[in-house]
Amino acid sequence: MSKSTPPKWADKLLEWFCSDRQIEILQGDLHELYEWRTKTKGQVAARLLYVKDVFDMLRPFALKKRRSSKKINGLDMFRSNLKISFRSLMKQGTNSLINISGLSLGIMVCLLIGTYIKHELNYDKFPVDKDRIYRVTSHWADFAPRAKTSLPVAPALKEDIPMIDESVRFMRVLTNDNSGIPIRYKNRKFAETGFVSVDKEFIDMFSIELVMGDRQTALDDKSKVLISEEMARKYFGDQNPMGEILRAEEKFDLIVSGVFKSVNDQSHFYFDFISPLTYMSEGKWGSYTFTQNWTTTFGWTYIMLKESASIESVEALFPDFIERRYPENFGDQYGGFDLDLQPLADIHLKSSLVEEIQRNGEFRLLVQMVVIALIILAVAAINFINLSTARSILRAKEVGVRKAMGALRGQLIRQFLTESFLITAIAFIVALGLVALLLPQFNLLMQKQFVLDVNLLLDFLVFGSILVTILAFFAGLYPAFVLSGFQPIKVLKSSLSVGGKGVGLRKIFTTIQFATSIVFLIGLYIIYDQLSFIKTKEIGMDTSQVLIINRQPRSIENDLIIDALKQIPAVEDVTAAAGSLPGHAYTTWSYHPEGFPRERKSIYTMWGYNDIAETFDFEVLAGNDFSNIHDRDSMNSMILNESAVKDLGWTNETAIGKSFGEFDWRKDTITVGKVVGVVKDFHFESFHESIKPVVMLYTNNDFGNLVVRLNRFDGAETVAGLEKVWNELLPELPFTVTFLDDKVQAMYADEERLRKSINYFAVIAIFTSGLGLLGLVSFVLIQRSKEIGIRKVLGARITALVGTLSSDFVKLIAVAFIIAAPVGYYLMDQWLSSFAFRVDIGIVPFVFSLTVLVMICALTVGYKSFRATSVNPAEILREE
Amino acid sequence: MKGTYLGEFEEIVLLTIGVLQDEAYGVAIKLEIEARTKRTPSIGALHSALSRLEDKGFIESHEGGATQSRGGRRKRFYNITAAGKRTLIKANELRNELFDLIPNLSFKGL
Repeated sequence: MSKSTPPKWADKLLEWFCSDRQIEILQGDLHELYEWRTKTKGQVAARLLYVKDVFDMLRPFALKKRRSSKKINGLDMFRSNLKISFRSLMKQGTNSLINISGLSLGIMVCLLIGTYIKHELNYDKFPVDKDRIYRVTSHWADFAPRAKTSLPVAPALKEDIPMIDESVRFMRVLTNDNSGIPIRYKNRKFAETGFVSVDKEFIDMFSIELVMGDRQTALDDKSKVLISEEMARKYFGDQNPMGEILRAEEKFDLIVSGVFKSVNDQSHFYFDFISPLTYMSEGKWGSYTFTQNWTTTFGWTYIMLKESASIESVEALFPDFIERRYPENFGDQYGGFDLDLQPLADIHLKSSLVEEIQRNGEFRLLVQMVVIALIILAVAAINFINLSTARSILRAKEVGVRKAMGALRGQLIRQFLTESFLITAIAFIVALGLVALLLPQFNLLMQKQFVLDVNLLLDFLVFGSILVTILAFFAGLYPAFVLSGFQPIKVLKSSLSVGGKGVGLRKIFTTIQFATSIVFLIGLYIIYDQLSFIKTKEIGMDTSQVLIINRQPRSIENDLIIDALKQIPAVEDVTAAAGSLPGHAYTTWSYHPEGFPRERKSIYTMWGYNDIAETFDFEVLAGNDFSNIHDRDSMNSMILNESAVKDLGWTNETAIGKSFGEFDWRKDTITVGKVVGVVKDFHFESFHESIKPVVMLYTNNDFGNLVVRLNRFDGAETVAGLEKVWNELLPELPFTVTFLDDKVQAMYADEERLRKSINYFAVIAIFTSGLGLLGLVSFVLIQRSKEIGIRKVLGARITALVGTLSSDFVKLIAVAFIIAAPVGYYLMDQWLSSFAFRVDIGIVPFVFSLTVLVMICALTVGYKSFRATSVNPAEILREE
Repeated sequence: MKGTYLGEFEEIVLLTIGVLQDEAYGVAIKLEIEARTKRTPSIGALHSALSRLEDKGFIESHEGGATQSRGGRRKRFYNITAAGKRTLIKANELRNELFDLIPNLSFKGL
């Protein structure tokens, strides 16, 4: 009888899903049952039941276990990998140290820059309805757009355009000279630049948080003022400030109606005192009706749109609004006028209009910083890759043995990745320490107040883990693939061929590092050069011993205080000046010079009193300095600078005596004056700007600043002497003094900051590249130690040997230089083009960068190879 | 391990293994259960229970006894372990104890 068998396909199916452990027993049982069933129930039933039973076997216990075994093993492997990684880290101390220090510098730069960028991106996020708030800006076709608008705009917009929920005005209250106004509480007096006047809806629109006081009534009277917590401490100490009286501008008594939480450090605004707009309209301005003036931009206007409204639909209504509300044909003489909306979120990083509340951040700067961080990180990652592949020769045997024992390539890759993770993680921890150490320096550089608190630390951990993962992965991937790719037979037989692997790539990477260093060095040199050019170039005056004392309007007669100050022995000259001052150019005025009857000329204007040229040390080329002139005619005399004379087509001599009409927009009249002197051009703006025409008007008004030239400066003593005189004459006003030198230097704060940052970055880049080089050189020397030994035996001198060994690196530097020089030239030329007065790039920066790099390489290579070559050849060659 | 709870079917399987002594393997257990309890467990369900019992440590197994009808494949024989025996006794005792606690009264009505 032929034996019947169960269906083959069902058997195959069972074998496919059933685990190896169970298959034999289960299949045996099934077959036995099948035979028994064939006998008792017949073949058909047996076959059917067999198939049913096979499907019935689809139970967890019988299935192949696809994952579970790997899982358990994976954890063990991870532990083992970690242990091995640690051992290899310890064993290769120098390499690990180089890797970790390079990486931690890179990570540190990233963390710091990340902190800064996060801070910059978080500006103006505090208002609840921030997405609905927009700033209204003014655009004349012929001028740069202005951040301010005229004052009637805000209420009119709210009235006319139904999509606008709310509108507020924001004004800064400053002296005529744009300095802080005096605020006094009893005998505590300070000049405050953070005093603002706003519509009372401001605090709700921007969700300003009140610590004390009632939101509803806080700003409902012109004599109320809100102060920040800092100011509460500054003026009142621990005392409750509520209801106390502050005296503003020595004219107005203001009741403190509340204390608010300052938003200055995360806002495009800047304010410490909030007064209602009525402080200006009903108080300070008195009878002037500036709130009805449509033509002059006095304050900033913010609007809040209804939730459903779109910015486009509102902007579309502006032309009609301007037509209806502004004076007829307004803006026609300047090529047209329009209003524009800026989303609140865009103001800090994307707006740099004329008349910003304070200098905003720059989006471009953030991008540059990211690029620099990535470059530094890349340099460090390159080190890691270079060193790992270079020392592969040392680990080739390990890989061979592991493979011979049955390790799969994937497992080896995992092992090497674990290693790079470990190194990166350690580097991250070191970086955290470095950040904690360098944060104060960084704050100084960036002018921020970052504190390493829990929040920041948490940010670091999140950002850091992402960074570590990416870095470890990218830096570790290539070495992992190279190392795990070795053929065990070749490796275990002879290891010499292996070290050559990845040499090409290593050279490319090293070249990139060198090139980066060279670009940084070129940048560094040129920035230094330009800055020292700025510092040493004749600026047309002597700023060294000049003090500027800020004075309040209508406080004291010029002659009275000037004479008093002149009594101090250290004081040489004193004059009064206002408007555009060196380091502080902002006021232009309209004139009708002789021969230009129709044309209104807008010229930078400075008001000055007697001896103005002498005090600033301007060189008088023709005519006279302002001197004691009391007749009515001379009251309107003026001094021009050379540029102004040239601009008008006059000569220094012919200019004297010309009449000069001064247009007063407040009274809409022209006062005719006379040119009495011409002075040599001087830089009162930064070197970014060309020298512009300047007019100095004679004034006996007591506003603006007192300018004091000293004949000697004995530090605090002189200042104290000045203050003493001040306090005798003006006891209720704050004494604020600045050095003209500081003002001039302040114009280059950005450049100074750039110089410092590039300085740090260059040092880090060079240091990291140097580390990488050190690692590479030591490796090459180990590899070539036999060759060195033999060469020595054959009579090579040490100098010749060092030369031979260095030649490789010299080639790399040469290539790097060829790549980097044009890049550096291009970048720095771009930077310099923003200066109207600049140095020429010339050849020196390139020679400098090359020299520095060559010197660093020579030191590393020379030192290392000298040590390698001075070993007794017998030591090296006796093995084998 | 899933703990030492003994299910009803598992208890029957365990008892059957005890009954069959040295001859307890898949097919034999299945046929024995069918013969005694009139239920027909599928061979899959039976092996599933056996594997659970083994996981719980109530039975142990060894392989051997290949026959022609199985295509030369070995059988897996099962023995009750000491733990298995204890659990059986305990289960039995518990049942008896509970049984004894039922007042005679309630049976009278039946």
